[in-house]
Amino acid sequence: MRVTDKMIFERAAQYTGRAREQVERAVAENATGLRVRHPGDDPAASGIIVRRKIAHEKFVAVAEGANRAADELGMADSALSDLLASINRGYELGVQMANATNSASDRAAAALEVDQLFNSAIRSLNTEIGGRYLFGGVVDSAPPFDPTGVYSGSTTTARDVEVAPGIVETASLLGNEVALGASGGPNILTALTALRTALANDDTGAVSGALANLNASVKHLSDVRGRTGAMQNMFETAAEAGRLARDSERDGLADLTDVDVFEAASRLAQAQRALDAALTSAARSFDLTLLRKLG
Amino acid sequence: MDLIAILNLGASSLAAHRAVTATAGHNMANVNTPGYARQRAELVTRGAQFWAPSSYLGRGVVLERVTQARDRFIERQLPAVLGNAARSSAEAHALRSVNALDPDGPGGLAAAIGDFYSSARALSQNAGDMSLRRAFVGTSQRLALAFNRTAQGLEFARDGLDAELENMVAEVNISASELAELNAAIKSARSSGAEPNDLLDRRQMLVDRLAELTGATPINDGEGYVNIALPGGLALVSGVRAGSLSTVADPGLGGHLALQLTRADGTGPQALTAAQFGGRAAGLLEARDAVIGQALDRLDSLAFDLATGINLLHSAGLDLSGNSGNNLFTVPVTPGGAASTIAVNAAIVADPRLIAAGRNPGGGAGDAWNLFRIINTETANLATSGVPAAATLSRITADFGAATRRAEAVTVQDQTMADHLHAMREATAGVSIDEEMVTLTQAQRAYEATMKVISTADQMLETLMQLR
Repeated sequence: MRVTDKMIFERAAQYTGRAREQVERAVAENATGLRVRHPGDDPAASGIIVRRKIAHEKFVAVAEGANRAADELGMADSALSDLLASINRGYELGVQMANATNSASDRAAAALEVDQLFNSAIRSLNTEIGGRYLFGGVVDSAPPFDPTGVYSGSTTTARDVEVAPGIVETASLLGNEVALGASGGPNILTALTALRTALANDDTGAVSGALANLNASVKHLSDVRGRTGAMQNMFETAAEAGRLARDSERDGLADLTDVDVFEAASRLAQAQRALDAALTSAARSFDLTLLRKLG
Repeated sequence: MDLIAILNLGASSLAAHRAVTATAGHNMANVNTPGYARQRAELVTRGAQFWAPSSYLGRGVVLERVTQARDRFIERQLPAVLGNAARSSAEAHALRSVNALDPDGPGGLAAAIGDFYSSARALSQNAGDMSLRRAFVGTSQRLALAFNRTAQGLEFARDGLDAELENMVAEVNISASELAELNAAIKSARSSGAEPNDLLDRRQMLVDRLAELTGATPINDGEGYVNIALPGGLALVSGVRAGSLSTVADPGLGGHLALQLTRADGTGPQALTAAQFGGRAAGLLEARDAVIGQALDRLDSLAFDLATGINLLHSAGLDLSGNSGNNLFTVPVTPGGAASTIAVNAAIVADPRLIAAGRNPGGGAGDAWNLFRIINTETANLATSGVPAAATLSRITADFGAATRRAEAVTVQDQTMADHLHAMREATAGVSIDEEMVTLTQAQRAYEATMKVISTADQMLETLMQLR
């Protein structure tokens, strides 16, 4: 085939242009560390990147939410522990004061202590975190129990939290179920009140009568703590699962978006060598002309 | 043959070799001229003279004609190949220039959707908390803004392609007009019996350029004119008359430009569709409408369906005061333009207490039942796409990327073909300095030899004159 001067120059421009384009691409890859900058770089990966980004945020939020729920249940369990301690102390006092060997003044003093135990129970049931009350269900912006033990929290609706995308579980306890017998258990506050009244009236019979309810309250609270612990475990497991899923999405994203540093450096070196070769061969081809030989 | 005849032989031979030199010089001068086809000075022997009793004596050489070196077979294939290469290149370049759908772009739609649902989840755990409510309003606004910016980026790209179309139309009209004038000039020049090679070169360049711009094909008629027909068959140039393209804002294309043709005979303008074009015009239209336009339509549907679904649920919930919720987002009544106009309800922006998180009147600040329903829209299938929002956006992004990749792959193929034919054309029509140098040297030698003949004949004549 005839080779003309224009062909020589056009080809030189073409080949060096292509080589430069390869170098530019490699430089951009190395500088940004990104494999996929434009959807055209890898269409399938671009689509997956979009999905994974959204999924990553989802699992971050689910993990954080489950973690917070677990922490709150831990705090609720701590409050229940305090409540249980109050009931246990009440029971002890009841057992002690039911004995006829104690005097009326002993029982009066015990009545005062039981009064304090009642107040402590109310405080435990009004535990709050960040202005939100743990035992009010969804009515959580104000203390669920007033000083006399009247409940104003939600009677039916506990708070729910996601344990997995689209799956929610109950994450709080209702005060009326914990302390007022709404779930079929004993009314703890009534039991304490009854003991206090019996002690104040120096009525050993009534004191003995109050012990059964107090004992039942102890068992009930132990059950509630057990359930709370189970819920806390569930949310801790959910938080861990969320973190694993989050990490999986994050790692998957990195595999798609991030360039392999060594491969990118190698591609850059190759592209630079190719450019060098194109420039050298172009320069040499320009030299070979009869014009130079004939002078 | 007398001595005077030998001198005449020398003179015509000198003229012929001068023509060869001039042609070689012309070729060398135009070695880099785009579209130039090398010319050849074709010499023929002058008719012989009878020399009694039985011989014919030659009378030297004369220039018969100057011809162009062109391969008609290659020239016939080139317009289609140039048109295809220009089309795919224009489309690929246009799509590669769009960054609105970059998957890792800062403030992108994927991040905004993720943040929106994350803040909804955070709020669901403490639905009465005002700082979380304000954060939710914030991410809702960011989501709306991400839609706005993405749509804006796509629209700007389309506007940019409109500007390119206008430039292209101006160039087409100038080229068509010049080609029609050249048709007349070439016919006139040919009436002298010679080929106006330089005019033919210029006309061929215009033919190539119109093929690149519009995918038009040349049609040689019997009168020596080159007519230009658009891919749909409509004539852009007919003999010595040229039609013209123009642009008009088309409401059916969202106000973007459509092309129309005023024919060579002055009738029209006639509206043209994208299918009636090839070349750069087709590439720009394809990128603007079929790819970017479609991505924008799908984005509008995504914004509309997502916002409408969320609004439906939000309106069914109760705010902190126990009142029914309003729409969380404002969108048009139909999907068109939803992505560019979506915004958060101004009343909710002003008062986050209006976020309808709950369901029961007096249900309490922590009632997040409605928020969970809103969160579930993340995985709910949308009305138009039939898949959830993340998958919809994923498809839009991937499909746009696939169109870009396809256009770029086709560009490589088309450009390779175009380069190959260019090379073949250049191999025939291109100027080789080396060859011209040889021709020059040849002509110079022949000229020197002819000078010797003249000198010898002159000396013979002088000798004859000195006879007494």
